Amino acid sequence: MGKLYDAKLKVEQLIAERKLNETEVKGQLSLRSGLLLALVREETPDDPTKLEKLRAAVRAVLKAEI
Amino acid sequence: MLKTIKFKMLVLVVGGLGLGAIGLSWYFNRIYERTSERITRESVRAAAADFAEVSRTSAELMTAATDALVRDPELRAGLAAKDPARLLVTSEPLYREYRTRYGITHWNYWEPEQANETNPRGLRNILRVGTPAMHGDFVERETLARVARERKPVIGLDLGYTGMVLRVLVPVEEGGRIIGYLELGKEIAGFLSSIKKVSGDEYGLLLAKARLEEKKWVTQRATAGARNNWADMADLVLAQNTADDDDLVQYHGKIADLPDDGQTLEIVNKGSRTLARGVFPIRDVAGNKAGAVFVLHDITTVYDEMRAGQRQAMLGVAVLMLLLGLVITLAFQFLVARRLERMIHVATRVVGGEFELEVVPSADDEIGAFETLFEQFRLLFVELIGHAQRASGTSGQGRR
Repeated sequence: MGKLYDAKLKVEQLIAERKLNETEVKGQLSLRSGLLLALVREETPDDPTKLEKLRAAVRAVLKAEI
Repeated sequence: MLKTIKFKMLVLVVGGLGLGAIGLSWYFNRIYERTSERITRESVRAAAADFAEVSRTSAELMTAATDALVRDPELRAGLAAKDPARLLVTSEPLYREYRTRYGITHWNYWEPEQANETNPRGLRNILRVGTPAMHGDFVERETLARVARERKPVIGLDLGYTGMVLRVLVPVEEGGRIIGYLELGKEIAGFLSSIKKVSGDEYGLLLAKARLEEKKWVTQRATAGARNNWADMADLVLAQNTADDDDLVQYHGKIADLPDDGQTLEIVNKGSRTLARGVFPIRDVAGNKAGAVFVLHDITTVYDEMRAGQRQAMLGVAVLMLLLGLVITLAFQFLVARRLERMIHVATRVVGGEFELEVVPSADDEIGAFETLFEQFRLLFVELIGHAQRASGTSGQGRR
């Protein structure tokens, strides 16, 4: 499992735990990070730059570390 | 907040209305200044007209009196004899009555000029009925010189040692020969009280120092128990003031520069009163500007009305600012801000995977056109995502 996909799963877990609107939050994270989460799947190759941008977006939007 | 269009628009509205308020305030001040100027000018003109009218009626009164007096045989005999005692007995009771009833302050008899005198500059006094102890002196004065030269009635203002007097001088003849001159006069300081009774304004009489003698002026003021005001002004001296405060009636300009129809001066505030001021010149019998009348017109009511109007206008502008600010804020909120927020919300959710969330134009206006454009972008975006998902083998629905 790629790190990007793993990060996406963690985001979905956070959303579910906090009972947030999934598309709203994913949209905010995608816009902030420049990474379209809808297109990230298990076999998506890792990209450290994209991963770091996603982590930064999660920190800003969800105030959490993934 | 500071970067929002809403705030910028509010700043523009408040700034615009603020500028409008400043302009309105300036406009009110301008109206007030013009009104004050007009009122002052009218007061000066009215005072000058009243002064001329009082002078005219006084001159007529004194002319009529001299016409009657010169027919009195006893007076003629006394004048022919140059006998002050006899003239005093004849004149004093009537002088007292005239003084009380008509304000006639001067009643003088003068000797005829010397037979060989071709250009008399004055005449010798026989009797001053008002001050009988002072007689026998030779006085050089324009009115005396003129009546001696012209040998016909002379009427006009002439400065004496202590003030300006409207004088009527007539020759008295016996058998075609002049036996002397009769003079009646009124100090014009008394005119101001008469004008004040009509207009309600306050007046001050200013006399040219050059035509007065300081020592006699000081003595006369001391005798009257008044302060020596000789040094108050450079070229003029205040002879009479119907107002309480001499400071208000000060003119430091040149009397020769005053236009005949007068000049308005700056407005002054004294306590709760606002006073418009003006001054007009008075000419002596030779046509020279020998003094001036200072006019004080109370414009407190006008000033207060202007201030009240200004306050009301400013209050109106402030209320207008609040109302317009509120209306603009609400209108912007409903017409622009909410619709933009909705589009941001939709865009976020579409990017988040809710690809089928449509943007329906909410109105046929500028934002509506943008909503339509945004919907077209959404459709293109969804199609691109579909291509990408099909290429990578994921489902057509973005949500996982």
